[in-house]
Amino acid sequence: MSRELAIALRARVTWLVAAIAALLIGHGFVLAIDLYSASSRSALASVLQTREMDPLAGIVRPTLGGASLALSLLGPVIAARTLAIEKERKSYGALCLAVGSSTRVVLYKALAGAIACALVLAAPIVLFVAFAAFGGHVDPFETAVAVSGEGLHLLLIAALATAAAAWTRTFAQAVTLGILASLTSWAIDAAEGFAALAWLGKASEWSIEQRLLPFQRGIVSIGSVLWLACSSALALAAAMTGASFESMARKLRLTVPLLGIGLLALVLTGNVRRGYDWSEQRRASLPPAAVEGLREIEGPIIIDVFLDRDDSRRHQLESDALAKLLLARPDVAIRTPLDDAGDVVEAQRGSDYGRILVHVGGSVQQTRSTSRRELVTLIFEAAGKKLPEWAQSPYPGFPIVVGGMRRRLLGLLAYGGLPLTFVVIGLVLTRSRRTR
Amino acid sequence: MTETALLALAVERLEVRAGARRIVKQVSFTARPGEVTAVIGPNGAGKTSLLEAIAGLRTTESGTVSVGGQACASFRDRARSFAYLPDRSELAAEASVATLVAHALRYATADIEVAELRRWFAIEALLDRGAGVLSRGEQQRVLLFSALVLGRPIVLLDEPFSAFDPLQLRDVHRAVRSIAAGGATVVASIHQLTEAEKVADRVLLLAEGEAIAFGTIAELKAEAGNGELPLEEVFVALLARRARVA
Repeated sequence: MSRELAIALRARVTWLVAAIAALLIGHGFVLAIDLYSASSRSALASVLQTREMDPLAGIVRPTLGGASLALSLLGPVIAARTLAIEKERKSYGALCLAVGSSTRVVLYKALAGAIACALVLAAPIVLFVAFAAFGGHVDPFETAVAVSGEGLHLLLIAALATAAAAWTRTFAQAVTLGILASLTSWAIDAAEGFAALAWLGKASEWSIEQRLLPFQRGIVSIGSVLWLACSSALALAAAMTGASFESMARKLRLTVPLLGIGLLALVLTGNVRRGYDWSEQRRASLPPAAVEGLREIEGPIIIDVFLDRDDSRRHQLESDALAKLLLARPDVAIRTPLDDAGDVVEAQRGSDYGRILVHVGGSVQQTRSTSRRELVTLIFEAAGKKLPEWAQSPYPGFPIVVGGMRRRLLGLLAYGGLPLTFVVIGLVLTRSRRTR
Repeated sequence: MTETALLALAVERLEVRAGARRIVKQVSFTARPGEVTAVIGPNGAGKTSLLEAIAGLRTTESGTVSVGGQACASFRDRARSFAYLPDRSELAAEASVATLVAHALRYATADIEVAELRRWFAIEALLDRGAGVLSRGEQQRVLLFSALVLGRPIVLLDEPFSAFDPLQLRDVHRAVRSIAAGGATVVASIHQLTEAEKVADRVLLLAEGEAIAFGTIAELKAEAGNGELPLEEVFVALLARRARVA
């Protein structure tokens, strides 16, 4: 393993990528700090506005967004290299013979690639610590959940890049394929706001970013954890097949059923909805009494949403009311008939559009509101029960104006300190390659 | 050398294709333990492809490779038996020589004469250096050491002598001969026929993927019609004869 770690961690490109990623992440962090400070300045005048000042949403999420971008675009450069460079140096076959199996070599390579990719996550962690040190509020648990989501993302990128290297001959080919694979997920997300990619909308279940969303809200989503773990295992299995010395026909014969089983596993794990709210003051959940009450309702709960995928009300409903409802009752069935209906329905839209139907047992309730309280109230009404007390300790909010010296120091760390640290470590570690 | 080292390598009717082209055509030969078998031939004869196919790094169209009478069915079988030095391969430039040597030693059999190999390849002088700054000859020393130190019963070397100066070559020849003397079966593709003559016990002559002669150097000389000819002349004579027959 020390040989593989040396190839990954003593490569100039690894530290160069880490420095560029730190700059990218640092820029996102500084923008987030400035925006958060500006919002805090106006929020400090009112208690209600203060409650909206959420560092997870305002600081952690945008900073990790930079890390996610860096991992998707630059991660394959680091991760694919560990295996691809071995092929370019013509040492891969001899290495496998020495070690005893190509599978073990691929595993070591993927692990070394993942460890090197983890450098990308060092930058946001240092920035969060610095933010906390300068008086900002960062809840360790919800932040750890958000960072661990990116950790799973990192493992997937490392496995995908290793698979890309396994099926190609050169570093350049491997990086190109690795980046293409990670960008496919972005294309699916882009389908939301880009008409030309609208046909990809139905594939949103396969988007990595969609799977990372719960973590960014401080929720440990079992479905997302399993989906990302299964994807990584599938990519790793594809890497092992691709890097073996079998004929191409046999490799394909092995890979096709493997992909079939893997995709089935992804569909199954993707439907697991259980999640655990680790956000501060459990603010990602419904009030505790409502949660208890919802769990006591017998029989299935079905919700029909007659809203388009691109409708902002549907986004609001899904990210707030339905996400919280599913935390309380993972078995709630949510149906979106308009997604499956196709263009014919466009002309048929009329007064029915925008309805939300709640079925509990034999009873049906209807609303057009996307408010979580309204939705939960209707569920209880349909079940013939009284809505429990709607009380939840309010999230206090953590406004902070980072200005003056603190702002300058954070900017210096984000734009200079961190990237330069990576450059200097890289120069020190690769010194033995420059001096005879 | 381990007990399993005394194993012969038998190659039977091995055929390798690259697309529609046959690059190794029904090649058969047996390499014996304790001997160095040189694979010689003009450029494009299929020497590297043959060694890669024997090592299991290239898929074969047909034929078998057996070690000690047991056919190698899987890559794992081959990994147990073969050490391989590819032609023009490079060391991991990021690692130190010490790391690379430690890696090779981790997979070495316990009873290999490591100290002797270290001395022949002058490894100690390189240990504290980065692999990326080594000269081509120094790199080849480390690569050859890493292959030989594994102590596998069959050692496949693709152009092992190409990067050395005459002084280094003497030690390298001695190391390869010593590994063979210890009971290993050494098969080496050698472009320089003078080197092949110095180090090999038997020679396999390949041309356009076909084995056109195989035997001891004396046998090949006799086949060429003159026992006094240097190997280079034997090589030319046998190729010319094949061209006439073709």
